[in-house]
Amino acid sequence: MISGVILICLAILTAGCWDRRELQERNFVLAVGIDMADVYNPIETFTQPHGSKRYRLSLQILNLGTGGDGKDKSNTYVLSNTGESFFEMVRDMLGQSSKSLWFEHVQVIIISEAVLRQTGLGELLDFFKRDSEMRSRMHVYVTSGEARPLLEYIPPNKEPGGIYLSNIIDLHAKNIHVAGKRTDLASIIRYLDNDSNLVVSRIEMAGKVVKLGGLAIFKKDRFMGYVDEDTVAGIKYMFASEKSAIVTIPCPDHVDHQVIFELFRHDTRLRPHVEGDTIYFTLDINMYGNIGEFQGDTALDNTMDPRYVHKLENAFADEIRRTVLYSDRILQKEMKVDILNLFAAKLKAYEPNTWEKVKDQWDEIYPDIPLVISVNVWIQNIGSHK
Amino acid sequence: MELLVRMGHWSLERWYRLFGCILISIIGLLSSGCWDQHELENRRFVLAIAIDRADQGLGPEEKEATRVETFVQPYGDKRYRLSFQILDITPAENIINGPKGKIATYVISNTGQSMFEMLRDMLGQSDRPFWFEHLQAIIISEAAARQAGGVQPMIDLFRRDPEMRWLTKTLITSGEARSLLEYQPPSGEPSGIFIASSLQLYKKNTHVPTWRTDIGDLTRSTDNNSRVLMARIELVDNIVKLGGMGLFKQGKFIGYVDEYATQGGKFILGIEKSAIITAQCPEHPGKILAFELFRHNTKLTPHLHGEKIYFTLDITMWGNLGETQCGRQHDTMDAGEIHKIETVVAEEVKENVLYSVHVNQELQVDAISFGAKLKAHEPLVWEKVKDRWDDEVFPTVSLLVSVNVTIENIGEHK
Repeated sequence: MISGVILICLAILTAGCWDRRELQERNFVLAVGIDMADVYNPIETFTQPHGSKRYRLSLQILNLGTGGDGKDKSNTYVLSNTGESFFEMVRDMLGQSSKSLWFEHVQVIIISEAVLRQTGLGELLDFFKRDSEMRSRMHVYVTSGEARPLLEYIPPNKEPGGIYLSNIIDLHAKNIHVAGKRTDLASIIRYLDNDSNLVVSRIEMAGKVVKLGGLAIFKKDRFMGYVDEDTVAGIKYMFASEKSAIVTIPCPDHVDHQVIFELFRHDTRLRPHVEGDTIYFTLDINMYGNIGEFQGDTALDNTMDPRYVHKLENAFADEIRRTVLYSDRILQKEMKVDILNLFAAKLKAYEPNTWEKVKDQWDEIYPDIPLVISVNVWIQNIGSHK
Repeated sequence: MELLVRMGHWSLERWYRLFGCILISIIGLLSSGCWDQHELENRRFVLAIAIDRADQGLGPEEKEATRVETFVQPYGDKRYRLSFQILDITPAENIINGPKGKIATYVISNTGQSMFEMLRDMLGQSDRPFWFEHLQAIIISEAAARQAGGVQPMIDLFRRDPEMRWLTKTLITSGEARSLLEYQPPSGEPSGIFIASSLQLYKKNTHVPTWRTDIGDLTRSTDNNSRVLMARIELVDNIVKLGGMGLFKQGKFIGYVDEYATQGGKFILGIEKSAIITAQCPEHPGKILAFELFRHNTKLTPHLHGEKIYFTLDITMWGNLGETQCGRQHDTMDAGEIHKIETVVAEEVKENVLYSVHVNQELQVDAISFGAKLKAHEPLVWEKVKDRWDDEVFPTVSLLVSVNVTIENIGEHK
């Protein structure tokens, strides 16, 4: 008797259907855009007991819907709402949706610069940090314009826009102009919780063209400004986070010719040194790679000559040094931001006693710390033969 | 002749056998179920109905159309414009181009006074009979509801006709209702289905009343001479949004209630499943935080003090800290801080409830079921006050609110 009851209970409980949710009964949110609520539709909002109509939140929603002529139609659409609490806005947006919103597949959060000029990143991302439905691998981008048009963007291959936009950054290993490591939500939250400086990739849209490149620099959670692609390359050399890189120089023998180096492997070491009261850093880079391209009169292509190749190696090393110095100058002297607390972390790890002494004035000390750079380049293959 | 003579000599058993054969043939004919078949493709499914004032929102082109979209009426006048959203199912043309057919809708209208008369006259615009059993929503425009007679003449047919379902949602809009039937949701669904399924998200969205703003509830409330609620829907620039509700009393449109009061009403009735409650951060003025409600225990009780009637509302809420926009300056790991937030959220719930009561009392509509509670707990008192409840007693009733909030999870770790 008892075993019979247990058996029936088990059969009912383990069938696994009691809390099922069908895919087609959910609205997948693929991308989130955050703008200032300067202009908005009068019904895209609600009576708010607290706060003001400060932000305009936009969600890009995947359309799994029906329709025979889906080929030339977009498979996503965008909903917006205005308010201050993101959680409140999200729930009120159910009044514009026929299915509940599902955030576990959010790919990217795009924040407009106008918002960041007034609000810290920590306040904006708090909801995404706390809610259990959010995945920590979603990417965060900053744009100088409005975020909503980027959600409305239809990629040329007709992929859903959110997936396309978030895949761009995954190519950071090959694209030296994009610093993709440690800009996902999990890393940003970690940096925020540690009171560290952080970076977010920059995305821009003009007409029907979307491009990722450059970085937005944050001091703690405050937006400081953008740095260009060349600075990003220098930052990646310092962090040793490049997997591959393309370095361009004018040919040392013929000024109007261009030679391009393709980096394959590198060995990078950033070390702090303390002598008396002075702190300085050394950066030693060894790079191995190929000649990737030679632009100019091929009759003057001397790459078969080892002396010429050696000359090129020196020229490439100079170029790398210039790039690193350029980005170090921008960060130290112009922005005065120790990016991702790189130098502080190295000092703390290698010279803990010195760190204890200087950590409280680190922000004042950092802009004056010298960086000594030494670069060696080895060209292994030249891609031409006799 | 010979057969008949022979049958005269049949035994009783043979008669039984013949009778049995006939019976089986008749059952076979009747029970095969084809004698009253209705084919799907021979029906026009009506998904949504809109009722406007006859001359509402008509452009010159539509004015021309309304001359055809009507009939000679022996009684009544051209008071309403009735519109149907009709499902148009086109099967896939061939399998190669994909198995999907097309789902589209179109809208037809008629003007007159009797809904039933208009409906039957609209067959003159349709190639197949209408089918109402899948009707999802009835949208009434404010202008039509404000006309003489109120909401009763518009709704009577839907209460009486056996083809109508009680779960059909009723909605009110401040603009033209027909344009909501023409609206194409971005998800590609017909807007009738879109609206009805959006209302079903009431569990998560406290800004829409409840799922039961439907014909069934409307019928019950009308018969009990009590208030009628309709969810409010608005369309501006091709964006549709649900939020707040419209209130009716004795068939008359009283007014709209905003999202905040709708939420407060749900707190009083204890019908919210989840809610986001925002409050000012106690330590950083100008910054807000949000509490996510998961579970609650709500009790509304009437009390008597001599002649005076008052109510108490005890709410206990459990939930999580959903968002703090004062973010990093706030140590939510500290139990004392959390306790402060709990107090602030409880205070906010109280304010929300009192606001909702105030709105209801101003409108003199008891949409928060105080009357029903009094009738259940104090039937003798109810008998005395029921005739002057709405306009005299209810607006002066006081409510004592006590709220306890417990924050269980904070969504953060060390």
